[in-house]
Amino acid sequence: MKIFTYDDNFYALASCIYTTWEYSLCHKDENIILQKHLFTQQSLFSEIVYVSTDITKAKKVIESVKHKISIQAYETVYMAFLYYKDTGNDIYNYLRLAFKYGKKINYMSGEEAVMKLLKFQTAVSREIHSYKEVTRFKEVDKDMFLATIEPKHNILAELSYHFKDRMPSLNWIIIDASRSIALIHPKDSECYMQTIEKNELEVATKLNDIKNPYSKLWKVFFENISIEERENVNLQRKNCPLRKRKYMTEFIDENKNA
Amino acid sequence: MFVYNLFMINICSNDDIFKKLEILSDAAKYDVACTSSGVDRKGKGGMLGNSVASGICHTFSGDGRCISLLKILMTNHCIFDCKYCINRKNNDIHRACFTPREICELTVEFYKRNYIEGLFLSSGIINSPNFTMERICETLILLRSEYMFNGYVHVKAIPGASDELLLQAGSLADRMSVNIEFPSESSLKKYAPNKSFNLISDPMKKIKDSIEMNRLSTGKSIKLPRSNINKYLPGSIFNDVAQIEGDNILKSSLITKQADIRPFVPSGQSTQMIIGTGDDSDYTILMTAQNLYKSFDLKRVFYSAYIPINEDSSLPNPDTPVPLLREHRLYQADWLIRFYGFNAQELLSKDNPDFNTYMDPKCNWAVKHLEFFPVEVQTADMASLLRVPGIGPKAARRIVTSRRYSLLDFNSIAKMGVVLKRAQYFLTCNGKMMYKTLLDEKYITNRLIGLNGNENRQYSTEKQLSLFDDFGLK
Repeated sequence: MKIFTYDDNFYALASCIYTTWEYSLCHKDENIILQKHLFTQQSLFSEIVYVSTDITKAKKVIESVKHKISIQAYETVYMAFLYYKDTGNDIYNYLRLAFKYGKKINYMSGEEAVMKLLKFQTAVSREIHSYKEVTRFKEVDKDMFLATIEPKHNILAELSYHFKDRMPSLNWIIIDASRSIALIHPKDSECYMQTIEKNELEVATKLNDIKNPYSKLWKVFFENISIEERENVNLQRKNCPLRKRKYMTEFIDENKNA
Repeated sequence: MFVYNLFMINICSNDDIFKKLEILSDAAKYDVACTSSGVDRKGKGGMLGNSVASGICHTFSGDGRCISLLKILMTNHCIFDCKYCINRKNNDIHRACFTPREICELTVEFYKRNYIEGLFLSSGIINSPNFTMERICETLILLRSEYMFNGYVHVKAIPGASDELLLQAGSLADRMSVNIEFPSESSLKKYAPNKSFNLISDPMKKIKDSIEMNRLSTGKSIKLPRSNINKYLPGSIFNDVAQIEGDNILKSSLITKQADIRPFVPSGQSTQMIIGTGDDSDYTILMTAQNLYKSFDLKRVFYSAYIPINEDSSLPNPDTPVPLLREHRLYQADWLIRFYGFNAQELLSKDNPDFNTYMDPKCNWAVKHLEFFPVEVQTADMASLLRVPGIGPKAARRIVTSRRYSLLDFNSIAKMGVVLKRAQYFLTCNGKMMYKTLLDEKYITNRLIGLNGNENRQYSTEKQLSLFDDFGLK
């Protein structure tokens, strides 16, 4: 058995797929597994091969997925890559099938490899949508908005498209606290990502809204819009689970922290 | 002008903004519509906001309803005396009024913090309908042109306001609504003495006509686009081809799109009916809703369970329970009409005017029409698949696309999202049913009611036995 390992980025995965594919052409019966390099453990009967990132190979894979299969398949693969677990091996299995069947691959939900990837894609795209909802900004400095989120999947980059379109002429930052990366959007220009240190993260989460009345007003609104006679806390919890509420202004009790 | 200023200062300056928001959001909460869907609009540099077609619910309040818009009244002063309404003239409540600038500030600052999708602006009628509508228009103009707000705006059309004001509000808003409140003229007269059917349908008709005109002039079909699933459903109330195909049909026409002009009410109109005040049956309510969809091309009709707030001899007792289950059934039926190709007449009739409390409308229809079942998964068309309880538009679509490539069995359709606990009685896969079940009305009804106990619990007053409260163990 051979284990091919790759670094934690999409190009690395793509070039790893290229190498694995090349290898599998002449070793048809051998068992092959793809894994992230960081998580790989040495085992008795397997050989580990580390594949270094090669941009030209990676681009070949990506282009052929886009053209020989379909743009939807590429989307599925990319979304599955953002899933919080290591999905490299599943993507490889899916692509083997996809190159065989072509465009109709995403309709073949009877195949297990396809169903698996579709499930990853749904999970990730649902989380992207849910963070369009629950991300809460604070105005930490004049015209400077900051939000902290803790998503399960690696969705920060995908989230940027939505907020860039929404607030193009504002300075804002979204911090992914579970991965320590920040998405920074300077006024009227392109977004970029940056890793941040632990102490920076702590400082960022402690910052308060300078225009305090608005977070208070929002709480007033939130309390008053609910109809007492129809109270249904279970339904509320179903629609807005507790794990999402950590950074949501209306659920944070300020007296508790003080 | 002087008198007007004096008047506004008088009613606007009393409270601070906290108190005002408290009063005016509290007064607006009985309005159900809180949707931000139906219009896709890209953001622009220098402006604030965009709009997403799927709609975004930002949070959920203590009653489990979503909050997606800043839902407030401009004022809760009102010259009307509608008996069911908390803001009626004779009620002794705290009154307040927002200035246009306050509303804009709130909307924009909330929006920047990603609390809301936009603004839902309604109002009590202050002074006169025209006066009120003028204030609303002033707010919208300020919001769009000075605060450069590009997000979603839902605005109430005040019945009785002049055409020019309606047109102006419509050209700035994304959705407009006039609440019809009651399905029949008689109950409307009884509970809302200042309103009449004509007063309400007049603005509705005007808005509908303007939407049509605007759509035609920009090279679109007259009617608003509906869910794509309707094109497979010959019995659907939206079976106008142009409406289902959306804008594709006229795309080839030579009319050039004028990109800068804001479309008139792009996500259509909605309305709302109160459930449980008068003695109107579910049948009347549903028929009214269907007629509204057909004749006024409404995007949505909302149903609002009546909450006893006022005491009046003609109203239900203040301690009557809120008819939540009835409201739920009506929403279910509404969905059947809009996405499943059902007609109101199929679900209910004059002899059988109310919904079954134990079973949802679709199951209820299915057990009464066993002549259409069982349906064969491999060959059935979309319309008959959709009539099977436990199969929705998504699952039906998946079945139809994937059966081209492989034989389906009960296992694989379960993975596609078919709810087998309801669907198993009505389906065959390759000529076989899932278990040996009878195709018998009584048998299936009993089985289905046993299953649905769970679903209805949240609406009923029954509760689970508790070890500590019911048995006195402390």
